[in-house]
Amino acid sequence: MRVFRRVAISIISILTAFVVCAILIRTQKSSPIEVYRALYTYGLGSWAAFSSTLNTATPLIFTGISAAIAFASGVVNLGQHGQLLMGAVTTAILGVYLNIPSWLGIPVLAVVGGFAGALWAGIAAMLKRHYEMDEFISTLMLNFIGEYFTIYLATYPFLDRKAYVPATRLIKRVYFMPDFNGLNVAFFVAVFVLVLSFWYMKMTRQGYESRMMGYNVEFARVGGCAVESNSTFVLLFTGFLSGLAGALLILGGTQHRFMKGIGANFGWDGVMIAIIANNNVIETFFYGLFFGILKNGAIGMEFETSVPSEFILFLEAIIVLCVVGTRSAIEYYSQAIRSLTKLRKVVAEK
Amino acid sequence: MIDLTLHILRATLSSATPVMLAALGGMFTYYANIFNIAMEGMMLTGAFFAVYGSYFFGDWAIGTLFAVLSGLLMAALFAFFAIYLRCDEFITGIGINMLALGWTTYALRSTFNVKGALISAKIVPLPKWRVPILDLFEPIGSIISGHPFLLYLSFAIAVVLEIVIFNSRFGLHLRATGEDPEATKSAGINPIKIKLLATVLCGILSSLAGVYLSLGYVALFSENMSNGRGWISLAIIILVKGRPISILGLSLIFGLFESIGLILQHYKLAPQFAAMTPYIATLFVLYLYGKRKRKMEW
Amino acid sequence: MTKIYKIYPPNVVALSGVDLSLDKGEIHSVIGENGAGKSTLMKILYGMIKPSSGEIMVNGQRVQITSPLEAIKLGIGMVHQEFMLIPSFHVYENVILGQEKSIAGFIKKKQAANHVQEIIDRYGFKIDSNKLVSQLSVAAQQKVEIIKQLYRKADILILDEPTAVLTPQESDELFEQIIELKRQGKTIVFISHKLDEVLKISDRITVLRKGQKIATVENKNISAAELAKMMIGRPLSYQIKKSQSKPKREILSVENLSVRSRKSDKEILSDVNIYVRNGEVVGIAGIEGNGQYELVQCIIGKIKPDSGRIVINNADVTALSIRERRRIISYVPQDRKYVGLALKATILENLIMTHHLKKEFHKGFLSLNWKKAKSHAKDVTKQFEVIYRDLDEQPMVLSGGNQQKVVVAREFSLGSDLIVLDQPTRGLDIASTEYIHRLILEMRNADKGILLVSADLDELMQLSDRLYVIRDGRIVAHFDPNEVDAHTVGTYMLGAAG
Repeated sequence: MRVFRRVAISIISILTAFVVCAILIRTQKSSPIEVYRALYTYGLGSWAAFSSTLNTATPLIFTGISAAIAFASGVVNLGQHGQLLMGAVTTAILGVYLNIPSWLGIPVLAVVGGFAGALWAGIAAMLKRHYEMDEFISTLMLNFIGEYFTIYLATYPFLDRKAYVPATRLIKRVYFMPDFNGLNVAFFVAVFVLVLSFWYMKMTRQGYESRMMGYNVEFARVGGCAVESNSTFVLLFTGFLSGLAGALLILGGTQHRFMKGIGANFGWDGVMIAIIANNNVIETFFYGLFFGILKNGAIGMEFETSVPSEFILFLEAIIVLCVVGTRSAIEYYSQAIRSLTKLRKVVAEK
Repeated sequence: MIDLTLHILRATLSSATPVMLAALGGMFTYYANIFNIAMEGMMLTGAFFAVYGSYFFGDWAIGTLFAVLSGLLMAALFAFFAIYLRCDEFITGIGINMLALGWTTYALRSTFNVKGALISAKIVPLPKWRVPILDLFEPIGSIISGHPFLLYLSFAIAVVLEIVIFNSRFGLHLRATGEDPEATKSAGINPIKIKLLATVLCGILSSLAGVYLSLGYVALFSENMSNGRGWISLAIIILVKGRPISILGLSLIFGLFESIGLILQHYKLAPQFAAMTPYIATLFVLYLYGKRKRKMEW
Repeated sequence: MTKIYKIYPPNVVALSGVDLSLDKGEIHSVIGENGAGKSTLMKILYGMIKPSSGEIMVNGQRVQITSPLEAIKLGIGMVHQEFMLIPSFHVYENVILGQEKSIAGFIKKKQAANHVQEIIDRYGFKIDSNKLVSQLSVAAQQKVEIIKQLYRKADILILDEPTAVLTPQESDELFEQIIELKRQGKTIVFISHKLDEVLKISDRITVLRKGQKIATVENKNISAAELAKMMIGRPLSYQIKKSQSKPKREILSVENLSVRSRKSDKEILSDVNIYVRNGEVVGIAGIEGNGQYELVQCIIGKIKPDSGRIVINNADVTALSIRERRRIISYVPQDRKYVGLALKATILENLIMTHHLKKEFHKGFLSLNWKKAKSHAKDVTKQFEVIYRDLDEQPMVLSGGNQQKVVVAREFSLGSDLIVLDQPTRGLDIASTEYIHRLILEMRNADKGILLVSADLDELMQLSDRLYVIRDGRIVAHFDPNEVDAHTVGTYMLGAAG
């Protein structure tokens, strides 16, 4: 019943967002139907489109789950962007110089990239634990620092002089992650991470403590939860997931090198996905897929209609606002209606 | 060396202004106890619409007007979601920021047909103002005089707000609302009204910060040009617990870091490291604050 | 006020068709137990909350009171149970808030302070209008609330449970002031659930029970027992009988405990020594804000003391974390909504907190044994009579009494030797309070050591085997409650005893 209610609310919210966007598209003198059709065709319409959507969704799923676990534990990690970049740059650089066989190299590079993300989040974790600095601001600042730092690495010490834009050299071909019929292995890693995260949050004792911290940190602390060390762990773990997203972007994506702008908006996309998924990891996965459709479809939309692909970022923000707005409106009005019917009953009984 | 110092100090004032304006805007919502993180987005739309108005009407004043209107719109959106629909303030803030980023990026592409940045001679910047008397006293004149007038206005606003917050009816109501909305309501004040007003004022000041960015600092608009200044302003507000005069002081410190970073670029420091300085400065100040807080725990 | 209904969303009926009429210049008491709807009714009269339906007439005129501002304009003033003061503001700022005289929006602070001081002096209150409210005692804060209403020239003054936070002496002082106000022609609505007080000062009494009006009676020839019967629907049968306690060993001992707040540079606790033995209830009495809260926080480990030690079951725990201490302490915090429960988690998740640290709730290396968790939750909800629909529901939907039962069920089933109770019955209705009192005594008879902090002096006198009085962070007295009366204890709480 509860699941049904949640799905229904999500659908209503997304429809609201689509209606709002249709109006906006109209004001831009384009046809909403054509735009949506293009989104569908290029996001879902064929296996090629679908597998490409899954590939596009992969980093979103990672950053989304990262944000969802953090938020659900009351840890405001907004540093997915920086953590992803640090993971990506580490993997990209090591991928050029490391010399081990493929079967070992790919997992090692992925994990090392993850650790780079964890390390970056670890700075915030350390500052939080020892100096009580709010992770919310420190992770944000680390995003900017990470962004400039990685660009520096790609512009000076590790620059590929043959590239047109600042970028590192291509990683060794043996470290390219294989794909099946267009679907990259990275997606399966994402599914594995989903299962792992779900298990951690729902089944483990630490996951239980983390969730209770997210609900009410005082309750958890007084109840004997290890609030400080759990927060540290969550920051490191979610940093690892973001770093892994970056690593897989290098190993699995299309560029296989670190270049300016490779992080796109994955960090904030992940945050948005987690928010509309109510920090639930399963829902995050599906919203990640949904955003993947939009992003992948956007390329087709630009191609087929006069609407530029930048429109999607705008659409995503509208969806976020519509989902949270509709959700709290439904809650508020359903309560108001329930209390009104109750009033009728009470008055009638008198 | 003296020239360099003068240059840094002059740049400090200029770098401090947008952060300070946004922080003063956020100060209202801080006192009203709204967890408002939307300054970044309000600033960005302000910057965009300032350029928009200036470009199409050839007048910085119309640009400013457009920016303020966009600030009001963003404030209205924030209020609609966070106050009227009672959504989580933090989530609403993130939504608004993303909306601002998406909207301005999209509009830059669809209106001006450029990607990345719009640089054009048609963008009329804010006029610069020579301070009449100070001009005569070197070196102070060369530091203080000749900035866009908005800079002077912002410093004046900071001082005026310091008085308003602690001595006026509105200041009293604002602080009371933030501390205990129920008690404020019980005193016959409508806390929702106060919160709305605070949000609107935040929208106006943050969008002015955007105007300064795109028409004062430079005369162009680039994607995501607020680039974290809204977040820094939030850090400032939290650090000084909202006090306007301290916002002014701390903004100057950030301005100093930023301008030192910019100057160092000329001395073979990679531009990326120069660009990092304000964020590192924020972390550093937070660290100092954290150390102090630890001592004062309770 | 006629036919007032109030439904709190989604479906809690707070008031159902209540009528109330006030005559000019009377003291009208509204009584009822916690949750009967007294405060809700008054908040509607004051415009703080909107009624679901019903109408209000003032001086024969039908009025819509949609905000406190309108109530103030109509001459209605209210002193809330939870004070509506801004702690960081000065007394005079609190008094003038919302009714400031200003020039071009700016306030003349000095003039305002002097004006407020005049009013204070005129009515004979002894308060400095330039002090910060956060520095005032609870009783003084209440006076500020009354001054605030006088400044606003309120004719109808609502006092919501004003004596709940006062000692017997302070209550007497308040009654004198109330009677003085009546003499000046003010109408006073006095809310309480303490019958002797009501009988002492009121002209008329309205009784509410479960959101319904039972009766309005003249205060003539009516006894406390009759009122009690109207209030709870049955005669007040409840009496606590307990055997003599026979303690053998010490469970908790707090030795020379001192805590200094660095923020205000004040000694919160100074040289506190107390002990709790098995099979006894040890009460801590004191006016709120005198260090009892901090004492409890020290015992459970949230506050690190500056000096002194805490020994539980002969082991020094002073250096241990909350997590380690909670393995041996059961703790019912005073704030059940913000500390005792996670209102948005499920009832099940709330019930296994702290239990999850125990071996039998573990499964494998990392996992939680959810099967065991469920069976535990089912057992304790049955044992402690928690009424709920589904363990996956949120505690938010439970009534206050049931919420507290969830907390108590969780803590009492931990099986710790030491049970620390901080205001365990605050805000509960009589039935739930009785039930929790009974449980406390059961635990005592099961040889647990119980530390009970409460603002309710009656509760302390009834339950405790020994009673400490705390004032300004010091233990100022140590009694056997059978040998003293409440008034004597109150004297110590106020610091008036030699």
